[in-house]
Amino acid sequence: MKATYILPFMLAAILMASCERENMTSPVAMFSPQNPPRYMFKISLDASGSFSTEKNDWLEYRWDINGDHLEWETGWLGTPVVTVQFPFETSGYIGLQVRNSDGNITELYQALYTDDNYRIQKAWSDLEIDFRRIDYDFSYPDRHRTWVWAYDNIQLHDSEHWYNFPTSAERAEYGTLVPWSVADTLDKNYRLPSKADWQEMIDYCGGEALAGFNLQVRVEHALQLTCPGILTVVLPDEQGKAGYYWTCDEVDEESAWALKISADSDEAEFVVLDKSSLASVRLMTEFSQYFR
Amino acid sequence: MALLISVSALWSQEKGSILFTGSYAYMPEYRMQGAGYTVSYQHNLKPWLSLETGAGYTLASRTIERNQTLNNVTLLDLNYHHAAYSLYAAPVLKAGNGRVVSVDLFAGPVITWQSNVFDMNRYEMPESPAYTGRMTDIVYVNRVLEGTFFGGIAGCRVNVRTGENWRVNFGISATGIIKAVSSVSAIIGVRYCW
Repeated sequence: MKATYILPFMLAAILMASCERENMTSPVAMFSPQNPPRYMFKISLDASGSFSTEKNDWLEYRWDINGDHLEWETGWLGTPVVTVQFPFETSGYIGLQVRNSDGNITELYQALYTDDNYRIQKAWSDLEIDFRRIDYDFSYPDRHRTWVWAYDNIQLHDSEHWYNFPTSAERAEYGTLVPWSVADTLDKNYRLPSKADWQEMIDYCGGEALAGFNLQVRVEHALQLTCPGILTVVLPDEQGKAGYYWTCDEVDEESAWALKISADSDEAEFVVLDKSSLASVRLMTEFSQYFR
Repeated sequence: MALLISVSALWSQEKGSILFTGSYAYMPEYRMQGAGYTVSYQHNLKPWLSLETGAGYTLASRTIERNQTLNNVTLLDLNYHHAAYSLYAAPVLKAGNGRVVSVDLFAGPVITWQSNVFDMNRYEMPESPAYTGRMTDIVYVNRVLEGTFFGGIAGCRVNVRTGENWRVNFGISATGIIKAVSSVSAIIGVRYCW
């Protein structure tokens, strides 16, 4: 054994011991829903608060939406916002992994809670064909508010002044299409919602971008708006594709605002309709009980 | 002179020795620092060649202080921890054997069992909305590197005779471990010879 054999071994060991290590830091992962979560409503989960502690780094995101820790429901995404249907009736965990350009991953699971307080009951109204109503209850420090919405599209008996669908199944689903002048004077206790009322409902349903879906989704705590279409000439147009719901807000003497939803869109929007058009109606009311 | 030569010849006929060394260890890959000890046995084959086998234990750590808040997130300190048991065998080339001061050069294979925990992130989340819940506000990410690994060790020792059977030694060594934590060490120890 000569020193010439030992020295290369020694050098190799020193080199191996001093080699440079890759970045060891994983990114900071954060996320929160952009709106309060509700069962089966679409919500946008926002991880844009996540960041890398390294300069000039980029991040990728993937989500465990059902919180089962088994599979990732999304692949690695370059954008931090993902829109999903909230899968939990009351609460559940949703997971996020954030990966930086070195491949280091931070994983974060957070519980999300729903906070729906509602009941469905028969509405006692002046209308001959009754409808159901859904009461959303909210508690504030000074009062208790009950926000009441018709749970069905308003149905009226046959008349030449409005349109009823030919089958009873269609009538039950779509209700009656009425002109604005009829919609605005249907009942004393329940009023035609204003744009502001609908806007509050849109906000409750996740904002304009998602309310179109959430207003239609078939879950008990949603309004479950349908798409009866609109009647401007003789027969309804866009049946099954769009729904137009009157507001009490007039644009001018000839036209008024209506809420439009579409079967193939998540968005909700306000449109101007001629008052003679026949559209759908949901009534609403609200009352508050103040604490003394 | 005759006495010195005869005593040197006697010392050079030592059959073996036991070494106990303490070490300061530095892991350059992860910048961890720590300490360890090694017990080894050296069997002399020739006046200039021995075989050495030994076992050691090393502990090391590192703290990366952060204590800063970015985007309402408090970044907490990161810690690295290292523990290792090692076995090695190495031929030893000896220079100046039998003299008061001698030098050992050694190099050979190592098998080690290591446990390493590296904090990759630790941070405190800001307050969450009412409909969001967490088990804890501290998010902790680490990487665990644990198992049996192979590598090599090489080093040199300077031995100073302090008595008929005793020597003290000091030196340096480098331990390269494949796919795990390597280190360089400064060592000091005592040796009992017979």
